[in-house]
Amino acid sequence: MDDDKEQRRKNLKVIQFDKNAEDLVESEKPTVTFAEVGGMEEIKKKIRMNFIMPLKQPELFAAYGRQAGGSLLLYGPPGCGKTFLARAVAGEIEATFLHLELQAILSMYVGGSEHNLHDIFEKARAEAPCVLFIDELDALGGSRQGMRQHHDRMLVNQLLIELDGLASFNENVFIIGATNTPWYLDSALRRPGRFNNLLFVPPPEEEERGTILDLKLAGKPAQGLNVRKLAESTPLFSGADLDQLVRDATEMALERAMETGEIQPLAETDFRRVLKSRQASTLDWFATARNYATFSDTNGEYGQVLEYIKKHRIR
Amino acid sequence: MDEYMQEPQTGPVPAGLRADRVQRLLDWNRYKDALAEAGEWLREEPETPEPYNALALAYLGLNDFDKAHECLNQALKLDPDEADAWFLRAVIYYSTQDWDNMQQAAAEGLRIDPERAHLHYLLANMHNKKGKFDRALSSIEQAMNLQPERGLYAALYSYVLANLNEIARSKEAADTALRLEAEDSMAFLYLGWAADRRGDARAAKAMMEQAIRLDPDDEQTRTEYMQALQKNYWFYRIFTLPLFLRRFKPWQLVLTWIAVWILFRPLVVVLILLYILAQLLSKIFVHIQVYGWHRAPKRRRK
Repeated sequence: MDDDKEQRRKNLKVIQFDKNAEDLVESEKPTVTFAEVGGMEEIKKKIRMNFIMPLKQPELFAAYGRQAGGSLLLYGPPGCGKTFLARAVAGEIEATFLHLELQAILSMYVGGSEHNLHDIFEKARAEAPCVLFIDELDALGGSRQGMRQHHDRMLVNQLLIELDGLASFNENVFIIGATNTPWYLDSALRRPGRFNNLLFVPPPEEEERGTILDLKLAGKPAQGLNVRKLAESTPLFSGADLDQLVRDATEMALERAMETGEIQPLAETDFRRVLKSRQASTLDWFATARNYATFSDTNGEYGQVLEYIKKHRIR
Repeated sequence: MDEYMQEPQTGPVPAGLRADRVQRLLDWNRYKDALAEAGEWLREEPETPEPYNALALAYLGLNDFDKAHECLNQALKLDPDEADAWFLRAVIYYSTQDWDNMQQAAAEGLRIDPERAHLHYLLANMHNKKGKFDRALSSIEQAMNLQPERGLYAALYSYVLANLNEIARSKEAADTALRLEAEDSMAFLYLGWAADRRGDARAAKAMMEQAIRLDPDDEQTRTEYMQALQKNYWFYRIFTLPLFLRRFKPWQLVLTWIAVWILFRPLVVVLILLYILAQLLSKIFVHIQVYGWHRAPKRRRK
């Protein structure tokens, strides 16, 4: 994984907002594709229909009045692969990937200006085909009390203008928003033509958890470890949770190795001990999401979440 | 937090912007990010109380009251007359219901900054919780005099008036609050309670619906909403403390019950059974209305 990061870093270009700010928007050409995204078949199908196929078969889609480009919003618990999925979309269509993160958004609100947002969209248009990934979209287009000041409204309005331009000027520009808290989004952002495709990105399923654990355990002394069983005993764990689980278990094995002076493999008892004190971090997210879905979902947007909660018997 | 603006500094973030950045992150409920930002600010300006106040605010958001206290102690060590630190201290004591310390901190905060309306609001809340409605009224009136445009204060005013059985004035204050505030779940909670005290179950339900729409993740709001739904069942209202009984004092109610028990014993037994049945049935109906035929979710500590 570190090699991947290193490779990505080599591909990086950087857009700087202004000379005084160090806030950056990453720009790269990702090499990951859907083949490397485990599971999420429904989501991939929807993305293929809306994003990828119009680009690969433009004549067919043009006959139905559709052109390549558009937007979608990924939401779900943190650490479950929203960013990776967005990067894979860019890899799949061999597009440039612009990554707008929280620090950059923060600098637009404080000390920056809405022109920065326009610059980023202009950059995306210039580099088409391009995937512009807006992480933490709720920070940029939130509906909360704090967003009612004049300057805040201007930035949200600027975002709306840029998104509305998708239909006319943004051919081959794909906007992917991601948020852990879709309930904070300004409802104007979810109108048709903007982020009207809401896709729930759930925690990895058992098979995906096995794959993630295999990746995390690669290069570590873990022979004889029943990864399948481990995957089975970690329901609702996010990728980040699994990473932490392996780290904690490795720490324990390392302590044993220090005591005995010999390499000690990671054992199932290490994982069992860690699992006793650690539960899926996604549970808090589901508790909050359930409250919004049950009490505050006037448009029925979080039906998918309630279905998932029911299916996985989350209490 | 605008008053936190500082002299120009050199650093990755332009001078004077740290306060705004922290405030922004707090507005977005990103308390951990706010903590990191406030930490950076403290590194840049370790000799000023403002970064400590910002850290305390972030810890308050994370419900870590001990650490928030530590930060405020540091801020007050640097400047014993730091009004924001006294204000935040009062907020923490209010959150932990440490009333004596809260009153002391509020008094100190008001000595330094008599214009701090929110301290009067906190005091009003405290008196209201303790049933000292006259003192609550006086405090909330002071808050309203300082900030008449704040709907939250008008909503609490309406609730206090309802507790004082000033029905018409309470209704009038509720209308004012609704004109001023449409986005604060706490204000709608007060308005719901006020309507309930006035015996208007329908208005109470409407207010609680607004409160839960704005903040469904708050446990108190959920509980109040479910109770408001319960009170909208006619059989619940008939068999559980009708409105006119609320006007009596507790000892008057107890005496009435004893007298009725002596005179009409079988009727009292029937009424008690109907009361229990009304409680149970309405609770079941509300559960089905909200969660369907599923079990209620487990309570989680945030």
